[in-house]
Amino acid sequence: MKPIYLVAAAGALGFVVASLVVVDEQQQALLIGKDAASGTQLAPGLHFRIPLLEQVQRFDGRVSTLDIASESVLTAERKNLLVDGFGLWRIQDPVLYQQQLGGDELKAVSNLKALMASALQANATHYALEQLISGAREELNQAVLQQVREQARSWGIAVLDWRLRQVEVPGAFNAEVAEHMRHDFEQAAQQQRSETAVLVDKIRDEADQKRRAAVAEADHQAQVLRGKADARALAIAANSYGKNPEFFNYYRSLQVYQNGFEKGQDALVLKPDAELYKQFAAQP
Amino acid sequence: MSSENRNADPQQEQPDWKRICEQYWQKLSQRSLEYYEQHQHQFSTRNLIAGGAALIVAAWAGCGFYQVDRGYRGVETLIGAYSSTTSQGNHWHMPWPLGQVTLVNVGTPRVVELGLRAAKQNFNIPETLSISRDHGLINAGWLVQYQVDDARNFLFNVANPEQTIKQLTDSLGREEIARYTLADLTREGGATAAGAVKLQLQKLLDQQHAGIQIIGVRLAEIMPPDLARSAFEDAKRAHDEHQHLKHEAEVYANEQITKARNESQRLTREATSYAAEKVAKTENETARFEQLLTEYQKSPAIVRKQLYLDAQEHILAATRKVIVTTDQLPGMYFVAPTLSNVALQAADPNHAASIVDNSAHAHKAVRGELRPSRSKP
Repeated sequence: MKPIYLVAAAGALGFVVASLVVVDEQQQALLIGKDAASGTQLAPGLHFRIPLLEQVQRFDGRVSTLDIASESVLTAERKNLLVDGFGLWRIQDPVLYQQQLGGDELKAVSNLKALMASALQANATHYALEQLISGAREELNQAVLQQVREQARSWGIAVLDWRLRQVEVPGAFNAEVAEHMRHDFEQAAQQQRSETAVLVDKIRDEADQKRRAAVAEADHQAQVLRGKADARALAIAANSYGKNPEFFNYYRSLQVYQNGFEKGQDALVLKPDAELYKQFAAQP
Repeated sequence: MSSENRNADPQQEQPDWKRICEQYWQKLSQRSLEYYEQHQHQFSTRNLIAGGAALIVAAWAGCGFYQVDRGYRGVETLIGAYSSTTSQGNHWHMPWPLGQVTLVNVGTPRVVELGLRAAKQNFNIPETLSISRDHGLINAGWLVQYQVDDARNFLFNVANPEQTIKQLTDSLGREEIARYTLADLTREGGATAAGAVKLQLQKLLDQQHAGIQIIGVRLAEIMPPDLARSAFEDAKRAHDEHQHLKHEAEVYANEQITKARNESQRLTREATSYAAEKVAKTENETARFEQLLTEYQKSPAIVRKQLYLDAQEHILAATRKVIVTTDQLPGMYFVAPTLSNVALQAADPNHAASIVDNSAHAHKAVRGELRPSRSKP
């Protein structure tokens, strides 16, 4: 084999390899000929090109997010606000994209940002602060999206979504609100505590009162019981002693004397004519 | 004998492996050589190249086998373009550089955190405040749990799924928070808001064919701005204390009920026993009286005398005695300090009457009566 054939074969192989184009599933690709501003879109898969004459431009075909950070807007009541938002976008038409923006992603992003910011400013003036915080957000989102979408389409870009994120009142507003909130919380805590104290006292007092009432009622019942017993005892006594009141008087008096002297500390002063002594003296 | 046997056995059981190997190797090389000599015409350069190529192709093709574990999906692409998605099991796909397989975890839930306080502090991110319905400012922390629903869409449609979820949650979350007051959010409002965010988030992701399923959204943290935080926590504490103190008071109330019951029962018990005792005592006394009465009715004089003397006996046994004869005029009585009216009455009924009358005045008067007045009558 002559070396010339080898060189030719190697050259042919290199040509073939250079002419192969593989486009990935997540990519958008464009085959660009002499005219840098136009080209044909390539689907994912295998393609061929003429090496050196034709170029392949690849873009990300997936959905990306785009941040709009702290854009200053004026509300309907001429209030200054700082607003955050974000958009979702993807390259829709690589041919247009290449034509309009030269396929430059940085340029696309900065253009989109400017577009979104101006659309946001233009639309925000139709709403009051109150509406931007809640209520009209969805409406504003749609309005901005509509406006951005139109313009972006001419760049070959599809803006899929646009949404408001943070709405902030600049300056001392946040600190004022925070101070106000702190005051409210302190008041709430204080109120809660005093309510608690009142409630707890009430529960305790009621319990004490219930206890006293219950005990008083029980005491009443007990006294009635004692009284009944006393009455019954008196009835029994009356019935029994009534059989001979004279003897009862005598018997009971003796008992009283006897019980009265039982402590042993008393002294008796007796006359000699006392009955007992008389007996004692009479009989030697 | 035995030692000889021992020496002989190992020689029989351990063949010379080296020699055996050599024998086999010789046999093999000899056979190969014979085969080569017999079939020499088949070993042309062309055939050798073809054989080598076939071997390489077979090895390359063998690289195409792969396994998909449970909870994974294999996404196959052929020369860049998507071809198919495979699930659990063994598969074959055209190997590199023609084909490619990407394994995507679809079984394990993934978590996106947004605005959590700890993260903010760690990474020095400034507060991101949402505005509530009552115009309060809230630091909201969100947790979003998601899993891959469609591996193909997940791989090829959205460039940065996590970032996208974050942005969408941030936007939707602020919108929801603006519908509630801070107090609402700390109660049921938080869950309701999270539910609404979840629905919206899923809808928006589906619009982008993100291949993501949202499992759950949670409003994990609700905090007022740093300046108001300690007061907020104090208010929460006051709320907790309320429950605690109320519970304590209720315990006390229950205790009081028990105490009241015990006390009432004690009072009733005491009264009952008093009643029983009182009646029994009276019955005993009357029984005794009636016994005596029976005897008295038979012979009153004897019984009277008997009872009188019994009493005298008791009294005399229990007291000190002073006996005064009538013709003597005593200068002074020795009177025990506890001398009772009854004792005087028993000794001298006439005097006793006057003492009883005067006893209402004063102790001194009683004493005065007792001493010198004696000598006057």
